[in-house]
Amino acid sequence: MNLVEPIPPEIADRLRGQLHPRELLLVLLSADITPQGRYGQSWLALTDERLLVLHHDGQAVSIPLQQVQRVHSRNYVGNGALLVELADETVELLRFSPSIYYKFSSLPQVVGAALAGLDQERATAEGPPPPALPAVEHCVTCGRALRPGSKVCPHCIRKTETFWRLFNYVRPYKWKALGGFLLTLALTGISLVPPQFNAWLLDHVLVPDPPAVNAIDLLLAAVLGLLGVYVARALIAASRAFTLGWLGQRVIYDLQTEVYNYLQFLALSFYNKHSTGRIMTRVTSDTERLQEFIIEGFQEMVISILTLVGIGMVLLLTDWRLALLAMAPTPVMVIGTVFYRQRIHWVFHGIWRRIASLNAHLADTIPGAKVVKAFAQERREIGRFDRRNAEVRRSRMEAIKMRSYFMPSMTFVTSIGSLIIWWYGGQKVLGDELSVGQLQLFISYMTMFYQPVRDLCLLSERLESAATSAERVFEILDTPAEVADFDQPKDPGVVQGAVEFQQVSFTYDGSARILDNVSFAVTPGEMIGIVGPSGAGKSTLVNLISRFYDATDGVVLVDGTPIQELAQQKLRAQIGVVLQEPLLFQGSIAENIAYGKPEASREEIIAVARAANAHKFIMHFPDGYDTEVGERGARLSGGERQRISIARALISDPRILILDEATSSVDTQTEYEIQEALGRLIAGRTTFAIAHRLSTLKNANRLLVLDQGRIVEVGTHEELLSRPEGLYRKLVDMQTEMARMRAV
Amino acid sequence: MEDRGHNYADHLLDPGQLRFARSVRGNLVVQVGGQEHQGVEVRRAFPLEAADRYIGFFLADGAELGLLENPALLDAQSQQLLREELDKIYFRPVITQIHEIGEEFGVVFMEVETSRGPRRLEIRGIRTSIRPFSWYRALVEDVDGNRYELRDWHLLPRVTREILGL
Repeated sequence: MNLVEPIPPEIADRLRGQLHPRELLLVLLSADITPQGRYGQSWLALTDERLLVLHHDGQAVSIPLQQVQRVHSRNYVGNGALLVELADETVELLRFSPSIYYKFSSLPQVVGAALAGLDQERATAEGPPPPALPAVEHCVTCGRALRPGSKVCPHCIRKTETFWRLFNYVRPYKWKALGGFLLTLALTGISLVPPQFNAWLLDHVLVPDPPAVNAIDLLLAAVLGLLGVYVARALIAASRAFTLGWLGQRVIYDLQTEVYNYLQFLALSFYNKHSTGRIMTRVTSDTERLQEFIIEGFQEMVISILTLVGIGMVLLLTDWRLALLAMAPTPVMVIGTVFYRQRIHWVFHGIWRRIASLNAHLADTIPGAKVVKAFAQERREIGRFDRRNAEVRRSRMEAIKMRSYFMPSMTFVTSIGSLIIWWYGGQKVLGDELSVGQLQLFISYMTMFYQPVRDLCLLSERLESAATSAERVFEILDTPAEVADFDQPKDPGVVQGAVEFQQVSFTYDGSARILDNVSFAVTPGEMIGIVGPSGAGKSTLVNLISRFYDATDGVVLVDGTPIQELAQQKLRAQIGVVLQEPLLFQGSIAENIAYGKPEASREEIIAVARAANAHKFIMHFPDGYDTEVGERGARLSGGERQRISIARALISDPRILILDEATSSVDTQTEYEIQEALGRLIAGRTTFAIAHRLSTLKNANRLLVLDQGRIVEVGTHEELLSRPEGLYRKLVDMQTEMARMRAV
Repeated sequence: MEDRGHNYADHLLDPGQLRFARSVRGNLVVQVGGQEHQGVEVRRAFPLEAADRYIGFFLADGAELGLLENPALLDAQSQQLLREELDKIYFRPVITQIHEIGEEFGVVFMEVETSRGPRRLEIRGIRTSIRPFSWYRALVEDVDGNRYELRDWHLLPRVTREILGL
């Protein structure tokens, strides 16, 4: 981000008036709330001599840098302020809304650098580059806020473009698709034939009086002809259904595979921003809906249009006046249907919303049955369910009411069409202007005419829902893999295990810094304990080593190479990770242990399980290593899962081991066994261990104590204990106190 | 790496040093080197995928005696005794023929012939109770927790396989 914003001329003039000629301008940023608490611009200028604030109302505040101790930003509720600490008091410089928090997040460092007497080049070139991202991203075209995690603006996405893009999925099967289309054409055409036969039959065989001499032969010929048409129609319909079905399954298979492939390579941050359920919906239902539209929706649209045009032409050619009369109710029908569609859309919307709320109630109270009973609130829960259920019934009734009015009225409108035909057509027949067969033709075609009219009226809804699905699916495909490999990543080879952080900062959202200017170096084989209060940035720190995220500022090096330059997968293969909540996948214990190395031999699997103190309990399962762990390992206890996950981390003989609260969710006995196993494993590997129970980190070569994203202390257990005012000492004292209280 | 291999090898039983016998009352007696152990628990590491290899031995107090990688290297009599012991612990009749099969209210019932005699079984929740593994075999667990093995399920009739979810 640029630290010097473009400014309006009058501010530039005022600024010029304030600065003397040799003053260097380092930072110029606008804030959006005035000191009086109204929206309005204020400007902050940082020069090599002072901090200068220009308010909208012409006021200016100037603070020489000599008086400044420190600058920091503070988030209030719904707005924030930039504060400057002077020798005797703290002064509020500016106020700003959450929309621009990000602008000021790096300012404290920049001012710090300026205070340190650095010249301009160093302050801007070597100072931490500011975070680039606002908390909420906005569409570059229209400026509307994007949904979190999304880079696609629903407003600006061009619908037609989306639809063309959809048809790309049909392209690989274009000959099949063309075949399907031709079959559709043929089917539409052949459906128009039987009424012609009927008309001919009436006019030439049945009605003439006296009947033709060979009437019975003609009748037979007509019936046989019709039979032929029906057979052909059945064949065409069957092959069309098959072709389209084949095509549809191909398209959905391709789409789902592509989306899933893509998901696997998306950065973890994507998963943080979207709920699992929504991502799953995108892979399953959204792709399904797209497939349905690409294949059936589109074809139906074509059929409807062709049928309309075909029937219209035939009718107009037969008798244009009668045809126009017969089509007279069409506008009524179109208007009625469009109106109905708009109303019913919202009614359905309401139904879905209320059903969702009903489901949420169930999902809440059924697992919570114990709480409900404990507080004797059964009656109330019944009441709440009843209210929601009644709402569902009411909104459903609304839909039923609308439908029960709409459908019969449309049928009535359609019948008006045939009444017109009977009345005027009948007169024409009596006046010998029209044959009975032609009248019959009109009647049968008119019944075929209104269905496509209705379908086309409802089409826009289908388009809408397909567009929404398409947008959601393409959003995944258009999200760049944030942690991308370089074009030619280096092969890390066998990692030695040296890890270095150089002035690393990290922020998830652009405002709060989870890690702030963290630097340290670890030699191969060292065990590093990471401690600190919750939210201090411990997990974030180790996540950067695995490169689940990229550092916002600064560099993480492994064996002296920045990790961005290393091939991600080869690097991660040499990092073993054990998390607090070990997640196992469906499959046997052996498969789970060998997850990172599917080719591992049974000997290797047993060896790592043994090292993780898991062999014994596994052997006592009825199915041993072949035991099915169930979804997410549900059939095992927490301690068992944890030990299996440790074995899993070891199978690839990692050079770097990351233990993120590996023992905090198990009982003491299990913890002892796990600790014992871990003690064996860390030998020869660079280990980063995060732990709440500080006693577990006694063996660490060094401890990093983190607080609010910064390293506040480094040293061995004993060294840190000897600092009476240190944070580590405080944490240890607290835990000892707790343990003592428990013992009492 | 070395300490791991060492650790693993530490617990391996040398088939040349291992012998089995029966006590007067018919219990298994395990002899390792010169030492005799009674009440030894015998466990398969991979009862499904490699039932005949990787056999674990645990003493009565829970301590591990060791792991035998390949029982085929034992002397013939020991092999025989070990097989009998494993057969006793792992009771898993093989379904040789399905006379009748049906499904009602989510419960699958079968009249079958097994390697240990005829049996009628009921299975609830085929997704979790019928578990295929290698070589077209499947582990079948009925509502009472009885376990059976089904072999060559790919040769079963289409409908039977559909009912069993295989």
